[in-house]
Amino acid sequence: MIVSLNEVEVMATKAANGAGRPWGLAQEAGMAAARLEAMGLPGARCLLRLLQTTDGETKLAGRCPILEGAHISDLGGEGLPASFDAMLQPLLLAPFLMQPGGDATLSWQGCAVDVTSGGVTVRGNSECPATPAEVRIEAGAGSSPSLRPGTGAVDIGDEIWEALGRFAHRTYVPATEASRLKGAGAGLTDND
Amino acid sequence: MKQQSDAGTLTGLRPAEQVMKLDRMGAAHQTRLSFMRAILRRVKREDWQVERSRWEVDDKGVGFAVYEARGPERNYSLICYANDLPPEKRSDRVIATEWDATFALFDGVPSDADIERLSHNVPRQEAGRCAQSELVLSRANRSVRLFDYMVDCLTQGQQPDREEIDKVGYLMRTTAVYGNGKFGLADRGLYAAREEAGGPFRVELLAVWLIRAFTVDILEHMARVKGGAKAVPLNKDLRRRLGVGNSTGLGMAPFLVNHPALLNAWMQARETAISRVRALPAADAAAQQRFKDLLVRARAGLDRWHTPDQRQAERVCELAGDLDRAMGEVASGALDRIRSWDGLYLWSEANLTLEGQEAIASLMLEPYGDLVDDLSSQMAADEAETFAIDGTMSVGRLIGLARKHFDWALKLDFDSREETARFWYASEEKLEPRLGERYEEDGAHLEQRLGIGREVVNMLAALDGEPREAPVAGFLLRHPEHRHAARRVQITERLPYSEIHDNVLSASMMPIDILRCKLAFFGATRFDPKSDRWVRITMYADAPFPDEIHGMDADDWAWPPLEAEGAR
Repeated sequence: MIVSLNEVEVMATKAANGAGRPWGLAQEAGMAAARLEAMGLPGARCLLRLLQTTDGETKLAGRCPILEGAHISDLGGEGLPASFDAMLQPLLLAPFLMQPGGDATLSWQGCAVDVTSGGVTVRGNSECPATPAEVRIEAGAGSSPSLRPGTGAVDIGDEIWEALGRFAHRTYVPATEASRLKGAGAGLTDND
Repeated sequence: MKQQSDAGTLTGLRPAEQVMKLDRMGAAHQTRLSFMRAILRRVKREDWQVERSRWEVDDKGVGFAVYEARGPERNYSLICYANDLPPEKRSDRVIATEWDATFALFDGVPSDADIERLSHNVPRQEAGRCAQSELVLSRANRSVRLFDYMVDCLTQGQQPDREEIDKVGYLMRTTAVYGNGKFGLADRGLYAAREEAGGPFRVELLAVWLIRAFTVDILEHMARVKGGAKAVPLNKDLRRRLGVGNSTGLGMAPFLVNHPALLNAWMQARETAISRVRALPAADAAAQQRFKDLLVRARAGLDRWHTPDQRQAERVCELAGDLDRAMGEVASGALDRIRSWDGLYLWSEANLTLEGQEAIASLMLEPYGDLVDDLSSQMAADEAETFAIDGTMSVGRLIGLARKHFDWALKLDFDSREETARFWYASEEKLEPRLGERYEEDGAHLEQRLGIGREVVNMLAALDGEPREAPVAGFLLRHPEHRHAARRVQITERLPYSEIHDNVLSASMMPIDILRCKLAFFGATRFDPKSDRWVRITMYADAPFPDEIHGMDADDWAWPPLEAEGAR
């Protein structure tokens, strides 16, 4: 599915909200997924894995990268260095580190991501790990990023898009004839 | 009178607690800064040329057309797909599936392959997919009554009656004008840095101006098909009276609430313009004359503001009285005094309805394009720039800011049914935004977080036991449900006009007030509410068409010319 970045952000926000994240945090999930996708990184897939593995009865134990990422962003540079024993989908932390003057390096088993306000450089394997990872975030050297956010559409796998859509669907209220008429407030004919 | 910042003058910007109230927002009028006007000023200034480069429409009115708008840097093309729609399928709800005409604004000049690709997608609207080469997706239905009448007239070689045209005011009305990445369209980020396209809704409203030309071309086409050599084209003065209609529902209300930085930019620009004019030491003779002329025109134009809605009809009637009183005030020398614009504005606050006050504020700007038009380039905003929360702020400071900026919400009782009567939600069907009655309908647990006042009041309650000197980041890590409210409070401290100062969950809230404010910034006129949550409007009525804009004033139409002037 070829989608615009705005569609990624809207879908990711709704999906996170549908998966139980409060609205403000869901907006941050949307921002993170879209910003990664804009750099050609699998933001939508990572977010989907996060939502899937923390949904329902058998939740995977581990820190949430949206909540922790937002916290690090809240603190500006003051939150670094930081380390976590068990972080879910650590790539989702990267967008929260993209702050002016706050260069950082994010690393976990087999992967390091240098983050600046203008983009990221990924060294190693950025695929979504299946299990929680031990993560370190340190102040970075501010190298020139190899991946910068683009403005074009991105290709999200159909199965990922549809699975996110199922989470998003939980936020919709089923229509009734009454809500169709009253809730939207419009008439049904346009023949005048 | 307050001290203020802009231009170091004595008159302050009107404060948020005044202009962000829903009743005043719901009385907003278009101004010089409205987007349609800014677009046409640019088209004229930069000598844009519009050509209908393709017209492949058959005798049934089915086919396609392309209008190329050529600017100094780039071209934009409106691709129109014309349809022969059976009446039973003509619905102006966003949930319709077929329309009289559908449109895409293409970035550049489309190839035959583009036109072919889009012919399978644009007519399906939400069910189709666009690509990054398309900026806008839209559709429109005929006003059957006026369209058929005018086809008949032109077919018989006659011009239609002006009164019949004015009763409706447009040949087609759009039911949606989508942009910014919806349904695969180009993201705003792709063109936000372009001078001609970076302002708010510039591409969407450029598309509407071109759609207006199409609505007349398809009318004349149908008349030629029926009347042959006997058929005549529409007289240009009559033609100019036609705008493009639009039906706007609830969708715009969540948009405004969810774009606080953008709302602030619009309000800040308009209020700055008003304060600049109020600060002038005197009104010179030319400015006085211009204002008087436009006052007369605004008053006369009310005769074409038709609405069967009783509330709005009464307000139009009161506005007529207000404008009469303003003419009397001006005739008695109000503009000859020192700081006369400030005086006139303050007089309007004391003597006129909100409709009248806002009309005077808008009309005051008219003589002063040189002083205020630059502000129209400062009305874009990037929400991402104010998205990050400053978690190093102390709890005490956040509480202080929340109390200061949301004192209006703290006065409300959010435990009462009255203040929580409504909930906003997305319907499963077509994802249409809707408004529910919390105590009568299901679904409130899925409500969208648009009641910012209530969110902030809830956050304040949760902050009650927190140590005042602690950074707020710790609280938000434990209570992420309050991140939204914390963000909005911090945005309001930076951007004073970012929040509506009313409770959008209240039983007495009128969604059309929010719609009207937004549509006035677009440049819409003749608001015709169809309920408390749905409004019809007219866009570009009396504005020049592409084939005449370089031969006339591009910005003298929003307060419609008098009949005698109209026959230029």
